[in-house]
Amino acid sequence: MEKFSVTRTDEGDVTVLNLQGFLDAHTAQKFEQALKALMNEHRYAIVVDMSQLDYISSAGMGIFMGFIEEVRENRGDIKFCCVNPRVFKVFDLLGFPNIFEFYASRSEALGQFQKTRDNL
Amino acid sequence: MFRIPKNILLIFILFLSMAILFIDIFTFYSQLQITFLENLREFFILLMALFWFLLIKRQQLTKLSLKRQLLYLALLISANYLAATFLSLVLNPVYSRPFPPTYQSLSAIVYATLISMVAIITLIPSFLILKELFFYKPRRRTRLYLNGFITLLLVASVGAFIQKSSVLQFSFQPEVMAFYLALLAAVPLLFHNDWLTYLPRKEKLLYFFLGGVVFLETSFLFDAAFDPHLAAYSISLATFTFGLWLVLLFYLMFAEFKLMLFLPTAKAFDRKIKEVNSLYNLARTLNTELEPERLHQLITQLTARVLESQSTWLEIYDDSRQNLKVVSSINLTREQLAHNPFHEKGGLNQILIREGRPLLINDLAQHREFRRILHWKRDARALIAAPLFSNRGQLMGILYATKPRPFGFDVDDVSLIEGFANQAAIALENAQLLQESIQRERLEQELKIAREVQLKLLPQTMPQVKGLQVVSYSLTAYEVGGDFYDFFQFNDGDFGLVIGDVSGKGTSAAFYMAEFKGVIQTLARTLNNPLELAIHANAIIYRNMERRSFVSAVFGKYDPRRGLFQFVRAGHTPVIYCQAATSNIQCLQPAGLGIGLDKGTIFNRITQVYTIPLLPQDVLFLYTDGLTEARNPQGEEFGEKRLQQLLASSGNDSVHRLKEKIFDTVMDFIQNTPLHDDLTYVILKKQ
Repeated sequence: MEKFSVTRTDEGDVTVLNLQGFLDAHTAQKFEQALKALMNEHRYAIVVDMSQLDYISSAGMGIFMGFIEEVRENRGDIKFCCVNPRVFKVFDLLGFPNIFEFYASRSEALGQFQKTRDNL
Repeated sequence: MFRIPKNILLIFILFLSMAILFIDIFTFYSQLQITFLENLREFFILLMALFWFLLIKRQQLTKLSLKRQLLYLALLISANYLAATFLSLVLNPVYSRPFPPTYQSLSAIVYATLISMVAIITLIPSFLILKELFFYKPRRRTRLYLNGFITLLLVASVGAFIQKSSVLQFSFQPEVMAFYLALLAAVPLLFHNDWLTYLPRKEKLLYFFLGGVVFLETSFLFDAAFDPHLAAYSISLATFTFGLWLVLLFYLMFAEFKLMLFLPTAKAFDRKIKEVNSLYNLARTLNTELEPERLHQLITQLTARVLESQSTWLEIYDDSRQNLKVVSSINLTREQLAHNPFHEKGGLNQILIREGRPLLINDLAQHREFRRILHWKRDARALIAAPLFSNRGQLMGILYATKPRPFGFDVDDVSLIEGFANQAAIALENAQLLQESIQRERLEQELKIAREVQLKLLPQTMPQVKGLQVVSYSLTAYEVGGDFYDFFQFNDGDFGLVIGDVSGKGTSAAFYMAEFKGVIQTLARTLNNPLELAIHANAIIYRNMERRSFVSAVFGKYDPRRGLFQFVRAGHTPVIYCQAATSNIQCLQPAGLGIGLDKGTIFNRITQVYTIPLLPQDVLFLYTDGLTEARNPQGEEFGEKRLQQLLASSGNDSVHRLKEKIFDTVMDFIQNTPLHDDLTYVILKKQ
């Protein structure tokens, strides 16, 4: 079995990335490539579904930091959803909820993008 | 051994021949029969042959190549033949009958002398060469047969001289018997012609025709070889020469016969030898080359040369892209390379990989499925291909070759390309393994440096703080994890500490660690509280760090006058507070953000200071996530719960005891699982 995998689903303007397994220094590159592909396609509305993510290391979290500036400059965002409590604790310790929005479900995260668009 | 100089030997031979001639002329005119003179004369002939033998022996015919030896043999026999023919034209020798013949004219004397000299001069080296041929691939009894033949022939020669008998007439006389026994001994030698088995086809042809001429010359020599000229000169010489001549004649005949049998298969034989040689060459060449690119070229070039193919190319399987790519080609245009039809779904590549063995298409134009390849390359009529598999059976690539002529490749080519593919796979695999091990070595070296840097950055001694015991422990994982702690003094002289974890691993983590330490040490001198320190550090680190890197840290300060410990948690694991009075264990997690995540707007807003008034025996435990995330063989984490329980049960332990206890407990828990992250902790205890 693969240690880590990322599956992409496009829902309108928003892209959902579903992460599975272990995101650490060794698997981070795979995730980075997925995000890079989105940047190349100018898709900046991103929901990261972490319902199946078992572990994230500092290198994994660093990937988000590497892209968030470019995403927000292009009026997009990276929103997290369905983070299991163990993984959320890691995010929380580092203070990630101060930088990123976390949602309990995918639809909530998608809805939030919808709201932002309506406000424009 | 004493060596007679060459010139002296030659003079001796000349002198002896002149002496014999003188004796002969004297005998002819005087008509006297002096037995002593006859014996002396025979002895002289023997000496002459012996000297010539010694002279030739020095020429070291052994060292000549087979080709040289054979040409030399042909030359000697032709010279003998020409000399005999020429002399019989010039002189008209007459001899008396019956045997033994005697001279009837002076020209007979001259002729017999000259022809005997020629016989001695040519036959002795010829026989020495013949001996080399016998011993090309010696068998158990070769030497026995040869020695038997020579000895018996010498006995027969001496006997024939004494008895004045002719070995041409069979009888039960001992000397005649010895002669035929000698021939019998030589019979096995006649089949010692292994040297011609492995000759290339061209040489086989050459020797066949050359051998024919030499054989004819040899058979014509019979006239000159024995009766009456040589016999008139010397019966012993004649007998000896006759023996040698017979062996030579039959040896030539047999060799000629064998060559004739071999000629039809010579071409196939040649091919097979070429095949074996080229495989051997390939293995040798490929094993000396370790650069994959050069190897690819070599494989293609050698395949093209041996298969005599028009176009040849090698496709190599790329593991990361999971596809085949042409890495080296001969006679493929850029256009053809770009539109390679072999990669298509259901294309030849897939078939070759599935079948796992070589493939031969005699005529693409006649092939139902792959006729379309001709659209891609019009002059590819015959095609041959073989997959390359590694030792572990993994696909490494495919080797292709084409010829413009239908049926250009045959079954032999299939086995050849298969052999090539196998050798190439081995060489490629070896090169790959070497590259990998070099890469690993380099990485190992890098990690070693990172570990050394990390160790040097950690405090080498424990600080002396009034009223506070401080111990620390840090264990570096195989891949340096970026853990780090340091002690320093704030501007007001109070004790300060920082424990942190730089994101990432290896050298980059070590590098940021060094930067972080420098920043903290410098800032602390001008500041008085941990929040200011964290805020300034964040601002500097944010500007100087790669976007995706950050540091989680706890900054602490101890005020001994008031017994207060203040700390800021910048995204780090909580601080565990063990209150001695109540035996309470608290996880202190004030709001905070990792260093380097934000330029300051959020960081400065949310990060809080936490203050604890420390009472005697109170313990503060600061750690990195390497401790709680250490895993046992079942993949279970050590976790905060275990840590808190351990701390709760250790209220009365000294800091040093506690430090060891934690280490031992964690090690017991993980057993032999390697740490995947550094593990660091600092313990503070109020006295």
